[in-house]
Amino acid sequence: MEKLVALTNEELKVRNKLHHIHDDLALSILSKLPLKSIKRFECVNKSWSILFENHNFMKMFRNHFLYNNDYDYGDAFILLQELPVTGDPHYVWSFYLLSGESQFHNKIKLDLPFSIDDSRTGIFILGFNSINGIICICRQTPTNLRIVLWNPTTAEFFVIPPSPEECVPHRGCYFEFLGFGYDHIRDDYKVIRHITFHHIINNEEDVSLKDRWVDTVLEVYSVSSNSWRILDIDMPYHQNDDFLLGAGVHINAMCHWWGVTHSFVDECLVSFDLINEALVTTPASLDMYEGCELGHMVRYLVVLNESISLISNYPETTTYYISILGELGVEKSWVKLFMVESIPFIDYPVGVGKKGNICFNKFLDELLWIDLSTHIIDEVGLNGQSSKIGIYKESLFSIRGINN
Amino acid sequence: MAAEKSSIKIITLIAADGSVFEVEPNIVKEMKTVQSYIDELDQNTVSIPLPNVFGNDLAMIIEYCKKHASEEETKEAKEEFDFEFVKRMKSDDKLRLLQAASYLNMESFLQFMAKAIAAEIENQSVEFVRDYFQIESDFTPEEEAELRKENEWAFK
Repeated sequence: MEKLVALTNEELKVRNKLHHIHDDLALSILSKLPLKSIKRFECVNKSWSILFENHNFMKMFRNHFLYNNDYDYGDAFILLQELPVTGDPHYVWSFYLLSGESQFHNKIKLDLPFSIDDSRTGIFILGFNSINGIICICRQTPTNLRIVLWNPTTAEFFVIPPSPEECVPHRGCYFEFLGFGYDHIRDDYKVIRHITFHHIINNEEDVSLKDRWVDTVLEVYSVSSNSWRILDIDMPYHQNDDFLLGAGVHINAMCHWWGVTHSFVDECLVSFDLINEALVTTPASLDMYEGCELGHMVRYLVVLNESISLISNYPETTTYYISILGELGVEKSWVKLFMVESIPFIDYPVGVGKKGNICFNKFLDELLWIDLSTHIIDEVGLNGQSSKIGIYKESLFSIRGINN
Repeated sequence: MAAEKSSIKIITLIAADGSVFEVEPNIVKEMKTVQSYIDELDQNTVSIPLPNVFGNDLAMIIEYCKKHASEEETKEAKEEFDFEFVKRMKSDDKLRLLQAASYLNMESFLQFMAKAIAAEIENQSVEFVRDYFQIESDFTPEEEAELRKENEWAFK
């Protein structure tokens, strides 16, 4: 033990001044800042300018990212499971509510209070997660899209009517950039979608190809007006997300999708602001993944602890990278944060949970959770092809708002 | 060993300025530096000099530890206390307490102070942060201008 030396206050002050804050302590402070502040403070001095190359700092930053999030996501999950039927080309779909202390202690099969499953094909949950306890269930057919909003707690549901664009004879619709979101300013739920049309050949009807031709359409539906409205906004992108059906996320009144330009060269995040009805794109950082050309990676867009995050996978490997976005519209604000590798037999992700857990489908169709910080793997105990999992928070909110 | 530990009734902590604090063993549990010292002793009372911590700061740390060690206090009451605890501190106090936490090897108090400091600097300028941590820039004006341009979005 050091020998005790009593100092005067003046001596203490001088002594304190001489002690700069230790590097490790500075890193600990910086790791608790949002990405934007860290990027700004890179200009403080040289050692701070390479924080993202600092192994120690990245460890603290990841830790903070995973564990210091007070946002209340709710503590249950909705799982959509798809099981093949013997001797039948179709599938059986089931919705499960998963809850309990150890994430999947309770598994309750949910019955839909409405009918959507008449052809047993193409069912999906739009955007995976519930918004105010409401989930958006869709079924795609070659010509149209059925959309139902559903609150599993109250069993309330609301069928969104088809738009006039879906009701034109000899014309089929292909939907991209489908999004379900909540405009908190107007207390209104909205659905957005981009429709590309194709012709349904019918030799008996004599309608010239020219008369049937229509450009693509971006349209938005609002529950409060109960109508679809066409937006005068160009959508020069295609969706490029390997989650396929229902891909895209919603956070803070914005819908986001992973997209690619028409030429299939440049990838980007495509975002739609539901309040201001405007499109924002964020280019993908070209140096995000060495050794693999853009356009050749398998992509999954998710929200991890309130950050827009992109899961990327080299095809045919079990190595996954996860990057988070610091600021919408800013290419340089992508930060590669996690690498998951060498986990045997994982096939593809089916959703994300809280604290950075990612749910993967394993070969042989088992589901498992992988904890990003510890790499601990938990079996879900449910099988199923193409299952999707989303966070669900129970709520008694009515779909048509408080006033209804 | 366990019996020896439990025989300690009162711990006397002596700050750098000579001020003396008598505390119960459960209060210092989080101070790993102190705890490891106690673990090596087998006497009823111990006095431990802490030449790197000032009396005022030690008083605050003990106040924090007492609140958080209490089993009667609710989670909400502890959060309310944390909020007020940080609110009455100046920047210098936070930095000194962070360093004290580091010296005393108090992990959760250290994280708490680091978070408080992060909240204070989050929306501040580069100049503010240099001044705050007494850091001299080692960039040439050209290097700094270039980096600021590259990270332009972070300044908006």
